Amino acid sequence: MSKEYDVEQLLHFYQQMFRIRAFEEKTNELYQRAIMPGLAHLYIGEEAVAVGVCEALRKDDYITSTHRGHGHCLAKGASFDRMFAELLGKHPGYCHGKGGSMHIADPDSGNLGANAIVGGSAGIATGAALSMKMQGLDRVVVCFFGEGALNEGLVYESMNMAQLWKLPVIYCCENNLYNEYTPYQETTAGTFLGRPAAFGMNAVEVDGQDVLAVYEAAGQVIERARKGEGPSFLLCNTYRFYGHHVGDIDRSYYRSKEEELYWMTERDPLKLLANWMLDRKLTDSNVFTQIENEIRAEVEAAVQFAINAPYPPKEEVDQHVYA
Amino acid sequence: MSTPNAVREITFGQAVNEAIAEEMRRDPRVFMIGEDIAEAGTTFKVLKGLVEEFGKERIIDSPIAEAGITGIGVGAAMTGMRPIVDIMFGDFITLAMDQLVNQAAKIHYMSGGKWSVPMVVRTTLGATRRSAAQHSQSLHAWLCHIPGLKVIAPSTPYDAKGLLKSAIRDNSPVVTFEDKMMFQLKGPVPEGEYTIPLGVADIKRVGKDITLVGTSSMVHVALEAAKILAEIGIEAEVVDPRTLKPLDTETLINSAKKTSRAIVIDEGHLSYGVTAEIASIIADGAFYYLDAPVKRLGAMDVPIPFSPALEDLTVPTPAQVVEMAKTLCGRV
Amino acid sequence: MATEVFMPALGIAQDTGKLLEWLVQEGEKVTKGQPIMVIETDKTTVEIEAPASGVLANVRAQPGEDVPVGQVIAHILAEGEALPAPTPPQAQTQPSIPSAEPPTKLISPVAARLAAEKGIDIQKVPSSRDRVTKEDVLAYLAAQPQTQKASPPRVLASPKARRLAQEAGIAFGALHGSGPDGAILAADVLQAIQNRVPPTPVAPQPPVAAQPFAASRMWKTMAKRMAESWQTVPHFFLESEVNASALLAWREQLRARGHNEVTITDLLLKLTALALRQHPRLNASWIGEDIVLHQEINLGLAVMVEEGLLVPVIHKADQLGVLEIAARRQKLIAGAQANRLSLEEMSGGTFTLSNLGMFGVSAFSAIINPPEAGILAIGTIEEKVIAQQGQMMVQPRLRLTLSLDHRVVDGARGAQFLQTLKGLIEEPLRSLD
Ligand SMILES: Cc1ncc(C[n+]2csc(CCOP(=O)(O)OP(=O)(O)O)c2C)c(N)n1
Ligand SMILES: [Mg+2]
Repeated sequence: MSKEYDVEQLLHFYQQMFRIRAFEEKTNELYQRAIMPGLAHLYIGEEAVAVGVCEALRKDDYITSTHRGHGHCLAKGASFDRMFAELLGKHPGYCHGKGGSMHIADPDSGNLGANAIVGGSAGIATGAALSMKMQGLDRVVVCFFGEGALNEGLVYESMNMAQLWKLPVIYCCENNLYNEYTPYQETTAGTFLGRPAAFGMNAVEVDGQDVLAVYEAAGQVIERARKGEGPSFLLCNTYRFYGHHVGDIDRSYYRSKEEELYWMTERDPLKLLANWMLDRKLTDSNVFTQIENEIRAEVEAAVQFAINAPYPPKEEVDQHVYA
Repeated sequence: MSTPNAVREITFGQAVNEAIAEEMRRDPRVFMIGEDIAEAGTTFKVLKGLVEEFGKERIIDSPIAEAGITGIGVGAAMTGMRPIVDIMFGDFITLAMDQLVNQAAKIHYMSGGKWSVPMVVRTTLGATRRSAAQHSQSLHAWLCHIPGLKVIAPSTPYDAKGLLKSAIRDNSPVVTFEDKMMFQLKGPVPEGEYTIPLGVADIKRVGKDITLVGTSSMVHVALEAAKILAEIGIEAEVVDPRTLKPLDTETLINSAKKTSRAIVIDEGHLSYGVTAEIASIIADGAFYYLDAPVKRLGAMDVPIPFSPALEDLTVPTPAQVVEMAKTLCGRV
Repeated sequence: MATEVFMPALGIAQDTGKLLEWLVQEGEKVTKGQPIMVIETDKTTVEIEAPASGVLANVRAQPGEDVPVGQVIAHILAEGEALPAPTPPQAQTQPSIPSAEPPTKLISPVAARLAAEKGIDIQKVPSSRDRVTKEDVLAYLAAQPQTQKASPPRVLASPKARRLAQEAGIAFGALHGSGPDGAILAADVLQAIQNRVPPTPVAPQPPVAAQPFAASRMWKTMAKRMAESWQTVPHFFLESEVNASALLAWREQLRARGHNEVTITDLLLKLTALALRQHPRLNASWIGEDIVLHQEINLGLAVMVEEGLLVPVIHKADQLGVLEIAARRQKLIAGAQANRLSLEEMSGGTFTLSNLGMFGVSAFSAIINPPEAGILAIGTIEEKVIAQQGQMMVQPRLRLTLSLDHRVVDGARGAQFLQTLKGLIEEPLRSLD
């Protein structure tokens, strides 16, 4: 940790990460209680990536997200009530219930949209960066994607153009070790960093469980992009604690319980930050408890809001097909 | 009515699994490639057990690279193998479209019949799983539009197995669309070897008052509607084309000639889709036998919405079929 | 000059004829009077003879085609003759549009559109100036009989209903549609068929060894016409028994004068023609949605021949004497039996007589021969005991059954006609009144 942080900022990071954790735990519960339609891909375990990156972004910067997108959306400023409403297919949701878990989009927070097509947002993010450059705006775009997306052609077509034209875009690869149920080693030749290297693109690898490390690395590449020095590839090594989606309960055929336990106990980004602060006596554990209680209460209220919210009226179905 | 009296009932998913396993035992050239198809046995677990029997060399877990695995399938097919390419969701076939449309479909023709592409692409269609716009589409019409591709859309475990076996043995590229909501559907499937030829429709219910043409899971919507209609004295005939390309036009036309009314039900979007093609074939072939316009029911022309409150409005239901049939039969 | 072969008009209000076959192929020699083609009209199937000798050329109609009457469908070229040259281009500047059929006259675009809209053949419209103009088309239209002008309003009907109606010869005009916007559905047509056809006892099963019998073309035409008539024309029937004493006496007088050929049929033809003159409404047709009264009284006579039934026509029968009628009848029957009737002799009938008296039939109902509105069925003359002024007496009696198209004639008008006819038969001298 090279930077100096004040306690408020550190607690804010904790708060942001816990918001995601609490939201996702509630989502899992909503699924298990059969209140939420469909499935959701939980972000628990990876919170430091979204928070570290988004804290380094300005409000008017853009992100694109993935099927595992709740964390990105919340970190960029989405609110609980409208998120839950969207997850439950309710009218006040971010997309009036039309998008659901995998498609949350919100111009107010600079969210170009979550995408259920693996690698599908690489073009969008790169195009937004081109647009910023053409309009002379100093906004930066972060393209979040999982390591599985590194096998889709579009990602490379986009990275090539971004580097060629020095576009202000960050390709943030969240390597959580698995493409669905398959370890990345079985699907990926060569190294992750060898890929940006082929284009001569700036690349940084970071511990995705350490929010401060992510924040600092992100800050560097974002500033670089903002200054017009071109795109970067930000590799964050992380882990999802739960299944590929909420229904993925039996995981023994592709990863071990021990592995999961190790990450949950030794590599939990929230615990890591809390312990780091406690070690330095920057705060005491009651503060964390207080933050957690406040957030859980907020989640509870938001869920009640979403449950009580109306479904979209029938007329909504053919609205917004064309602009 | 070709379902034999079989004692054994298995699910649609098991039928698909059996078809692939039997063909792989029969022909060492057959192999599968796709995302999460080995130990995971696909997201829908349909292929469970295959990797244990055939090993990772023939059940190949691929990177997430739809264009790549389809292209690889084309090349392997041209040079002596018989690949089955698994595209997890029908929505992702768009990523493989160049390989399917510009390559697989045209190679035999462009080469003057010198090369051929004996490949099967296995994918899904169907909504109502609350999976939203990028995981719920029924894009089969896209492929039906392309000369050189064959397209099947089975509706029962029996048909799924028999058609898939024929598809694997076919020397042209065949795309099979399975409704992801039907994998748990049970039905009689005889033990032992059988195939169903491509291009032959099946009459799933005999009737005389109106023809309901259903594809894939819409066959069950049609059958459900037929049951309700029977209660008010309308005997619907349910025709399942089974193969969408090439189409068994004769069976479709003859049924419409017999009943003088027809509704075509398919889960693809209504505009420019499978229903339009079949309706036009019926209108043309049975024109002087029709007592009412040929009607169509398909997915509403909107991206499939996530919210159950909206999603259920977008796909044809038995109630809609019943209403339409009553109107056509002058019963309202 | 090359001789035109065209689709002849054979009947009243006939606008197309169907070419069934060419008996001579293009390029073959023909002699004038030799049958060259077979055509079918709404009445009959006839062979058309070559109008000239030469070689058949420029054949423009194929078997099965419906051709507007008057349209040229071939030419006959004399030895060494060529086809009429296409009209030479009007001016150098005109673009030459390659066309299979050179235009026979200049037509203004407006005139062409108007003609198409009104459903008339522009080639038939005479031009008043160098080209056919809108005015010419309007003048032509005005000159046409009323009934040809108004095309009936389009009837809503399902394709199946149309096919069934056509097969059964049902006219939509009489039907009530139960479909949306009153569209006629198949069920409506089936209902109409059921209502029309008197219930028949269950058809006996054909014997197991029944051989399909190849009906002749003439028979098939008759079958089709009769079925169409029975199913389309709302028939009704009037019966009357008349005293035939005077009729028999009349024939005796003629025979006494050496006119052995005259038959009861001839006398009845004469008297019917006279009665029709007094009741023009029976000498009429239902065409489109209108009644058309015919100028001439042309009496058809049903004649049985080997191949089926023919109805040769005695034109203007009301203007002929009995002897003339007898002579015509003899010639027509001979022609019919030898299959040598001319077109003229086969067409243009406005009312028909059918006499089965010679077979001992007391009375029968006949099916109308469309587009005629009536047919008179004549039974045998039988001596019967009748009561007259309280006395029993024996008298030769004749039963007449009149079938009429109710769209043209109602019961009262039909009865008045029958009354007139009865009077004429019982007192033939009345015809001189
Ligand atoms: C084009 C496409 N192919 C396949 C899928 C199915 N799918 C959804 S998530 C996923 C795995 C993605 O792995 P990764 O990119 O590593 O993201 P993670 O789920 O690990 O966050 C797959 C294959 C998809 N959504 N889109
Ligand atoms: Mg991953």
